[in-house]
This record gives sequence, C-alpha cells and structure tokens, in this order.
Amino acid sequence: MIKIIGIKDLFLFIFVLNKNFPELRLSDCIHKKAGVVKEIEESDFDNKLLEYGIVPGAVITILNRAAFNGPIYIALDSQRIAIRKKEATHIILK
Amino acid sequence: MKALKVALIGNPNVGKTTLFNRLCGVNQKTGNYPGVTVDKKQGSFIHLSHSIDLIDLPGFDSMYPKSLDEELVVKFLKENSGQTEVNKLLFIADGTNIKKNLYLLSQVKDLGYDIVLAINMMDVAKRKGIVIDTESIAEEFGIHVVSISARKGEGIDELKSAILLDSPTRKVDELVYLRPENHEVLERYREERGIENSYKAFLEITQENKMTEVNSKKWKTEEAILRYQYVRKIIDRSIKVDKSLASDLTTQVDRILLHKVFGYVIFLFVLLVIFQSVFSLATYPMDLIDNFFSWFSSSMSDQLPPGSFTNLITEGLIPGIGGVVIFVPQIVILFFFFALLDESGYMNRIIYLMDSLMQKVGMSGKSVVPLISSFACAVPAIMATRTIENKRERLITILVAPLLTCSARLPVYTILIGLLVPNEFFYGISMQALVLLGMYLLGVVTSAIAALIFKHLIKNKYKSFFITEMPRYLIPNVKNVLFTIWENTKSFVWNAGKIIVAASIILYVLATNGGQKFDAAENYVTSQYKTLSEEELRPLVSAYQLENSYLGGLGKTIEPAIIPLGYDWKVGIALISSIAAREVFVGTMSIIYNINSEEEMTIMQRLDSEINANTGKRTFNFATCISLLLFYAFSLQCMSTIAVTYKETKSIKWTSVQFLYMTVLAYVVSLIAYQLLS
Repeated sequence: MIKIIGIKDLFLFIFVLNKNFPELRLSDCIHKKAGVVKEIEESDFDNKLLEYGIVPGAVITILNRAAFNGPIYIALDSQRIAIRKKEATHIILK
Repeated sequence: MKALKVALIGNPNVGKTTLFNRLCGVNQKTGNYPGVTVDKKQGSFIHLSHSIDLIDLPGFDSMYPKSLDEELVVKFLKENSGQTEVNKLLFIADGTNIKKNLYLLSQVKDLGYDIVLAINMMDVAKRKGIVIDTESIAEEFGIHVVSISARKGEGIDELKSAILLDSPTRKVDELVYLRPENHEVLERYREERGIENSYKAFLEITQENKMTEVNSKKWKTEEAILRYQYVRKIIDRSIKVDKSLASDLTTQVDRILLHKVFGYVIFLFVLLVIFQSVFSLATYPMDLIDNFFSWFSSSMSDQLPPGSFTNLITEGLIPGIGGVVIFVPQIVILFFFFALLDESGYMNRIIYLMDSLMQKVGMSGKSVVPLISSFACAVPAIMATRTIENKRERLITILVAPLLTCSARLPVYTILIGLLVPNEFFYGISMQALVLLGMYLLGVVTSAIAALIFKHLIKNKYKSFFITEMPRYLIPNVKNVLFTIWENTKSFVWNAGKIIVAASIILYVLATNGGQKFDAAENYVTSQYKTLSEEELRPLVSAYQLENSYLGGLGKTIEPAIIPLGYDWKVGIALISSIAAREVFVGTMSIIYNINSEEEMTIMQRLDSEINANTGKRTFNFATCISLLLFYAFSLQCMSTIAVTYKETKSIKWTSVQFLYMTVLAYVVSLIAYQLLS
C-alpha cells in the first residue's frame, strides 16, 4: 500500500513545488543546473542583459557560483558570462 | 592616391588587437583622443599598391555605452555615419561565439556603413564542431565576409583584398529593430530633423529621450528582442553546430580555477609568484641601472666643463631621470604578468572570484588588478582603473590605491626599520622582514577602511552592475604580450617621468641656491674647523650649504608644524624633497647628514648617532622612527600620483580630496603615535 518514496518521486515533488512558485529567479537557483528565460524584469540594466543575449527563450546553464555570495557564472549558447546576484534577481526562469 | 580609411571594430575579447598587429605590423602609433583618456591606435598597410589607414577602436558591446571606451566608439560611429571620412568598417567577430557579434554587427550596419566582416578563430570553431556558412551570412547582411585566424595569420591576404572590393549592392534597409506600428513615428522624427539615417534617428530618440511621447525604454527593450529574433534567423540558416565534436576544456578548467576553495588558493599562489618576481627578480636590473646612472653622472661631470650648468645636469637632471628609469624593471615584470593573465583569460576569473569581497568595500572585482599594480607603483594602477565601468567604484579605487605600499616606499622603510628593529631572527624569521610585512598589511587594511568610508560618503549616482564575459582560455600570444608591456612602460615613463624629472630639477635648484650664508659656506666652515683636511671638510660644507639653501629655509619654516611629530628641520627638508618621489628621502638624508655615500648601512649608522637639537635626545629614537614610518605609509608624497589622479578623474575636487585625506591621515596618525610613544 505505502509506496516507498524514491528519488524519482522526490524530483517530481521538487518539480511540482517549482511549478507552484509563481516566479523562479536565476538568483534563487541553488540546485537547478539549467533553465529557460521566461522574462527579464525592468531595471536599469535590463538592456545590458538583453544585449548579452539573455532574452526570453534563451537557455541558461549555471556553471558556477562564486564564494561569499559572489557572482553567478552562466553559459548561454556558446558564450560564458558572469553576472552579479543582484542582476540575476531580475532574470525569471520558466 | 588617397589612402582608404578603415576603422577596426568589434566586441571585446575577439582578437582585435592580434588582427590589428597582423595587418599593420610595426606601422602603428598610439595617440590620445582629445579630452578623454582612451588610447587611439592608428596604423597603415599597403595591399596591391593601395594604401589603407586603419584606426583601431576600443572593443565595445553595444550602441548603449556604459563605459568611457564604449562611449567613444559609439560617438565615433554616430558621427561618421553618412560621412565620407571613414570609408569602411572592418568588423571582427569570434567564430566560436558569433551570435552576440552579429547582433552588434546588425546595429552598426543599420547606421549605414559599408562593412567587411572578418570571422576570427575559425580554426578553434571548427574544432568545436561549429560550421559557419560565410556565403550565407554575406548574402543575408549584404556585406563581404572572410574567415580568418588572426593568431595563425590565416586568411589575412583575403581579408585585405576584401577591404579593397566594392561593397555588394545593398538590400533595402528594413527597420528590423522597431515594431511596425512605430515605424511612422520614427520616420516622422527623422524627416523633421533632417537625419539621413533611420537608426541614427532611433538612437537619438532612445539615448537622449528626444521625443517625450515615445517610451524610449520600451523601444530599447523591444529593439533587443526583435534584433535577436532577426539575428537568430540568420544564424539558424548559416551556422551549424555539431555537438558531438564539442570538447570544452574551458568549462573543465574553470571547475578547478573557480572552485570555492582551490580557486582562491590558486589565486593567492599566482599573486605570490607575481610579487616574488616583481621584488626579487627586479633587483638585478635595478642595481645595474643604479650603478649606470651614478657612473654616467660622474663621467659627465668629468667630461663637461665645471660650472653650475654642468652641476644642474649631473646632479639634477641625470639622477632625476635615473629615479624614473629605476622603476622600469618592476613595471616591465608587472605588466608581463598582467598581459599573460589578460591574454590567457585568467584575469576575468580573478575579477569573478574577488567581486563580492571588493563589493563590501565599495569597489568592484575589476579593482583587484589596479590594486595589485599599486604595490609596484600607484601611477600605472590609477591608469588601469579605466576598465571599471561604474564611476563610484572607479573613483574609490583611485582614491585608495596610493595607500598600498608602492616600491618607492621600500628604500625609506628599509632605513627606518633598520634603525627601529635589530637585525635579529625570531624562530628563523628576520624581525626586520616581519615589520616590513606588517607595513604592507597596514597598507592593505588602511585602504580597505578608507574604501569603506568612501563607500558611505560618495553617493551612488550610477547604478552598479556587473556583467562580464568569461573568455575561453587561450595560450598567450607573444606579440600581444610584448605590445602590452611596451605600451604601459612607455606610458609610465612619460606620465610619471616628466613630473619626477621636473620636480628633481626644481628641488636641485632650491637646494643649491641660497642667501649670503649659502655663498659663504666654504669660508665659514673652513674657519670653524681649521684642523680638518680638505677631504674631511667637503661633506661639512655641503651640509652647511643645504642648511642655508632655499630648501633648508623651507625645512625650517615647516619645523613648527612637524616638531609635534618628533621631527626637526633636517627631516623637514627630507619630507619636502620627497614630494618628487618618496625614495628621494634617502638621498636627501645622506646629504644633510653629510654622509659621503648612499649606502644604506652607512646612512643608518650615521642617523643612529644623530642628536636632535630641540630635545637633546637621539633624533631617530623609537618614537620618531615609528612616527616617520607611519607618515610615509599614509601621506601622498608623490607628485606623479597627484598628476595622474587629476588626469584620470579630470576633477580638481577629487584630486584635492585624495591629497588632503592622506596628508591629514598621515599627520594625525604620526602625531598620535609620537605623543603616545615618546
């Protein structure tokens, strides 16, 4: 009757949980390794983000997070970019 | 025949400098753009009996500039749009990361330029499994496209020929960057203002908010999205990536170099290697230079007829120039390492690792490199702050850089520490070395505190942002490394050099002229010490002369101000003459204490037995030495730094703030130290 919760279910659970959160920001991604950009929030540097190709639909892979709450290192298409956490809060992933 | 004028442009880190060097070789010169501190590189070459002038513009990422460099390129491109001054643009793109480059290309092309596109690093791209159909890109944009490898020199001749070709007939320009419903608004604006190019009009609206009824921010955002869609379509048609061929070394290496622990350990190790080389390797050529200039000075005084002009040359000018050249070995070594770090791609990793720590004290990851160069000299350090986009972070970096222990402080520290601490060992570690290390740490800590204070005092008018590309790791190109060293050394010698030389000459004149007492020095001293031989008299005469020179007068004038710090007028003279450069302290001390040699040991022994006329105690007692050490650690006794700060900030206000806060800090700290210890 009682199914043992397997690792697959756990992932499913996290997935559902993620779906329920209205917005997943790049800065919040701690375990997630990749995501698709849903929206760039308005800010003083939104254009700079767009110019680097961080546009809705772009696939972002997280490569590294610097120590001491430092920048996030991401791969986007074939380029690698580092952005500060503050900037990453304006990038909303699907 | 008139030379064809071509401007070389592109994003940063795409191999622009390498291509420029490939095309022009040694036929190049660096100048300055009027009013800004950005180097203007120009060169020329001849191909098929046509001569071509090439202007190298700084790398830029967008038509919406965020730094000085970018601003300059955008201004250049906007001003020359529709003019005949520049006939063509040579746009260099990175074959391994072409999307962003083509985005920029489409912006520049919309300004109405004839463009030749050079796709660089095709060899690397091929290895990564990227196949680029250059024909298709050429057709889509209506431009000539050549694939090259600037590093290996492949495709350079084809590129030169393509520059000479007439541009293909241009397609009708579409306004790909604007929603159709807004086309009419833009065209109306364009016609009203008589602007010949639609995109130029678009930039005017979005950059300067010239039309209040237009939401320029929305236009800008939509431009980015629409343009990326447009570029993506072209890329889908012309670029194929075979993922199975991709083997990415950079990602693997980054896992180690950016590791939360090992990353910092490796960075510390790199720092150590740089410092070790700057300080130990450089001593050999520095000794040679030192000996050469003393030899040169003495042989010149033998050759030239005796007189005050000869003295000015041998005792003012030559030592002045020597005082500049002595730093060249350190600067060369420093920039050798910086060029290596920059070329290999590791520099951006340092920026990444250090950003959050530097943020805490109001600076940016990009401040780390200037601050490292500060340990050699503040002048190249302040020049290197240009890469910091955010004005506040740049300003703070400039303001605190001179607090770090530069190499001109070393000779001063060596003498004072020699007087202060016995040459003994403590568990195998030299006590003197420990104190010296302490002085370095003091510099680091003080600069961090000062930066923190400035962070709270300076309002942040400009939002700080940090997006930086992490380039692929590459093996440094020897030619580029040599060029970097050459350019930076030249600029150091010129910027710091002219001031040090000028100050040395002025100080020399002040020290060798005086009133009646000065002129009668020889008679006076001879009558005082009748028993002494001429050999023994000479140093006494020069000491007496210095005391009664204009410089000596200055030293005596400031004496009341420095007595509370534990100094007398003799130290005052040394303080004033240090303004040319801090290490002049040593030379001045040796003259004023009538010592015939500049050997540090002899100076030290002599100073040790010196009695202060005001207190009757040893002049260089514990309290005074500490007070002097602290004074030299904090005060901005360096004309070159003041000049370069002014040059880089273009602000009398910030130049004075820097000078005043350091001087006040030095005075107050030395005062407290002396009063507590004496």
